Amino acid sequence: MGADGIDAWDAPAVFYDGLSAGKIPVRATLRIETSRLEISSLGGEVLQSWPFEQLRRMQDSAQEVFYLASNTAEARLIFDSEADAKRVAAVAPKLDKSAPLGRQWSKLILWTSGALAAFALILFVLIPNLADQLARFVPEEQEHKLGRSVVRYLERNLTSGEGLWTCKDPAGVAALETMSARLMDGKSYPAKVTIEVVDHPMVNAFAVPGGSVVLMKGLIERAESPDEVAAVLAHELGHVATRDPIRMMMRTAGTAGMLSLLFGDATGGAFVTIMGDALLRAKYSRNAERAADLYALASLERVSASPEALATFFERLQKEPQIDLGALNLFASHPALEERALTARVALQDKSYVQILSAQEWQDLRGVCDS
Amino acid sequence: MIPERTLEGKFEGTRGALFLLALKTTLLTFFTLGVYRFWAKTRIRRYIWNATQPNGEPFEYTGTGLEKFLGFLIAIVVLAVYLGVFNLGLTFFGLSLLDLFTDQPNEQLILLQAGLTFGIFVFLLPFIYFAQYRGRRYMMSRTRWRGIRFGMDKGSLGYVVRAVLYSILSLLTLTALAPLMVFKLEKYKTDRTWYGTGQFQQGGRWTSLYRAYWPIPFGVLLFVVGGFVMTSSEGLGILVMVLAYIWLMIAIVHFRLQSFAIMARHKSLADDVTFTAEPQTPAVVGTYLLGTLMVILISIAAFIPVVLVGILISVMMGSVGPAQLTGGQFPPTVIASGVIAAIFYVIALAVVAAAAMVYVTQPIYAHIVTSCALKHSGGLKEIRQRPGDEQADADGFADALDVGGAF
Repeated sequence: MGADGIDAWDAPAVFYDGLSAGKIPVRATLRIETSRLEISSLGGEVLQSWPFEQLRRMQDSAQEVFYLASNTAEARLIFDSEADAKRVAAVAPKLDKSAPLGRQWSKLILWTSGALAAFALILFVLIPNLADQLARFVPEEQEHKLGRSVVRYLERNLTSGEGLWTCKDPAGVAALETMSARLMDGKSYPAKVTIEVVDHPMVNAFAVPGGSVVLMKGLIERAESPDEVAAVLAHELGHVATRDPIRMMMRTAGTAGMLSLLFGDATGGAFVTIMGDALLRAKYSRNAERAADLYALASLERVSASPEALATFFERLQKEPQIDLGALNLFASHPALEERALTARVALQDKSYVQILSAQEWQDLRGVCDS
Repeated sequence: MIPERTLEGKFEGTRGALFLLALKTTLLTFFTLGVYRFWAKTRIRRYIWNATQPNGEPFEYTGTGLEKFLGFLIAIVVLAVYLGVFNLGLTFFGLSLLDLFTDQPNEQLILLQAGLTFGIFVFLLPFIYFAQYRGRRYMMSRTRWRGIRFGMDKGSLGYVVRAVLYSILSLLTLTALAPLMVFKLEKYKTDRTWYGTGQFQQGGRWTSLYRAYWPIPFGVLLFVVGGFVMTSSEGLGILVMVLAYIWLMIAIVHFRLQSFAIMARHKSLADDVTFTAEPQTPAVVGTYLLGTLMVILISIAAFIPVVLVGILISVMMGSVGPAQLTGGQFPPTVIASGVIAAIFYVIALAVVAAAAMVYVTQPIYAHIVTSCALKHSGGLKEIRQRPGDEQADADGFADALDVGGAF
C-alpha cells in the first residue's frame, strides 16, 4: 500500500532513457488504478509513465528488459531483482506481443517475388544470351577439347571401365562411313565431323561440341531399317551444322554455376552432375530441334531415302514399354512427337525411295560392336 | 576528476535455457527446409547478447529474422550473376569441369581440382571480405547497450582493397606478416565503429601481435623437423609430427584469442573508456576438449532411439519375408517405423547441434566475456544516441558465403 492510500507498489530499478549512455537509478511504481507503470527518479520526479497495455519485454532473453511499444521509444527499464520483474510481468497483458508486421508482409512478398523474378531473368535471359554470344567466339580447338571431355565424362559414367567403349568392327565402321558420307555430301560444317558408335544399350544419340556425333548401340539395335538410323544421324548433323552443342554447353555452364550456389556448393560437384545430365539429355530449345528435324528431312530427301523413317522410328519407340535404361531419353525434351511425325509425313512425296544402305551394309552396321 | 570505475564483464546465460532455444530453433530450421535459419540465428543472438552483461547491464540485439531473410535474397541474386558469369568464362576458355571430377582421379587431376577450387576461392575472396565488413556493420547497427546503438561507418570497399592486398602480402611471406594483416584490418574496422556518438579507436602497434603469433612458426618448424626425423626413424618422426600438429592447432587458437585480447587492451572509446581482456588459452582449450567429450556422449545417447527403431524395422522386414515385398509394396508398419526413425534422426541431429552450442560455444564465449572489463571515468554519460542504420542486405552476403562467427 502506498503512503497516499492508493494501491501501489514500487521497486528499485535502472532506467536508460535511450538518449544518453548514462544509467539512471529509479523507482518503478505500479499504479493499478490507472494501469500504468510510473518511473521516477530517486528525488521523486516522475520521468515516464508507461501504460500496462504498451509494456513489452525483450524476447529470448536471460534477463527481463522492459520497453515501451512504439517506434520511437528507445528507453529501457531493468529491475534490480528478478521477483520484481515477475510482479510487473504479471500485470502487463501484451508483454510478448510482437510489433505488427504490417508493411513488412508486403515487403516480404515483394522481395521474394523480386528475387525469384531476378533468378528467372538470369536463368532464362541473361545466361542464355551471354552464352550464345560467347559461343560464337569459342576457338575451334577449344570447342574440340570440350567435346572430347564430354565424351570421356559419359564414358566414365556409363561404363564399368572394362572393354571397348567405341565400336570398331571394320565392316560396320565402313557402313557407317558410307551412310554419313551420303548424308554429308556437298554440305559444309563448322568443324571436321567425326561419327562413332559406342557400346551402350541406351537408345540415344547426341552431338557434342567440336563436330562429333555419338550413336549408342541401343539405337542401332532398335532401328528396323538403316533409314531410321540415318534419320537420327541426320538430325544430329543438323545440330552440328548450327553449332548447337557448344551453345548448349555454355548455357549449362552458366546455369549450373549459378545453381550450385543455391545448393551451397561453389566448387563443382553439383555443377558436374547438372552438366552431365544436360549433355545426356541434349536439352536444346524447341526451335533448335525443329531446325534439326527439317535439316534431317532435307538430307534424307537429297539421298532419296524416305523422310518417313524419322516418324516411324520415334512412334514405334514411344509405344514400346520402357525396358532399356533411358530408352526414351532421346525424345524427352524434344518437340511433341505428333508434330514431328506430321512434319516428316508432309515431306513424304509420291515417289519411290531407296534405302540408304544395302542389305549387306545394314548387316555390317548392326554388327559394328561385335568385334 | 571523477574516480575511475570498472565494469566487469559478466555472462548470465544458462545451459538449460539456451539448450531449449537452440533445440527448438534447429528443429524449426530442419522442418522449414532451412528457411527458419534466419530467425533461428536472430533468436540465438538475442539470447547471447542479453546474457552478455558488463556490470550486470545486458547488451541487446535488435536484428530481425525477416531483414536477414530479405538480405539473403539480395545476396544470392548478386552472387548468382557473379558465379554464372564466372562459369561461363571457364567454359569459354575451354576448361571443362567434367574432366576434373572423376571417380579415379590421378595426381594431375587432384592438383587441377585443388587449383580450381583455389581459383574459385580467390575469385570469391573479395566478396568474402565484403561480406565480413557488411556483416559486422549490420551486427553493430543491431546491437545496443544501455539503450544506445552501436554503429559502423560505410567502408566495405576500402576494406576489401586492404584485405586483398594484406592477404597477398601474408601469403607471399608464408603468413609471417599475418599479424600485420590481422592488426590493420581490425584497426580499419575499429576506427569506424561507434557507440552512440562515441567513436572507438584502435591504438597499439601491429608488432605487438608477434607475442601471440610465434607458436605458429614454431609448430611449422616442429613439423619440418618431424619430416627429417622420419627419414631416419619412422616411429619417432610420426610422433614428432603428431605433436607438431596438436601444437599447431592450439597455436592457431592461441593466436586468435590473444591477438583479440592484445588489440582489445589497446582499444578506447570516446577518449575515456578503456578495456581490459585477459582470456586464458589453456582454459579455452580445456573447455573445448571437455565440451567436445560431453557432446560426443550426448550424441551417442541421442542416436540410440534411431538405432532401436532401425533394428525394429529390420526385424519386421525379416518376418515379412521377401515374398511379400515383390510389388515394391512395404507393409504400413514398416513405413510408419521408417517415418518414426527419420523423425528421431532429425531430433538427434538437433540435439547434437544444441549440445555443441551449450557445451562448447557458450562456455568458451562466457570465458572470454568474463575475462573482459571496461574502465571509464564518467565519459559514458556524455555519449548520446545515434541514428539507426538501415542496411537492406543485412548480413545476407555473410550468410550466403558462410562467413561469420559461432553465433
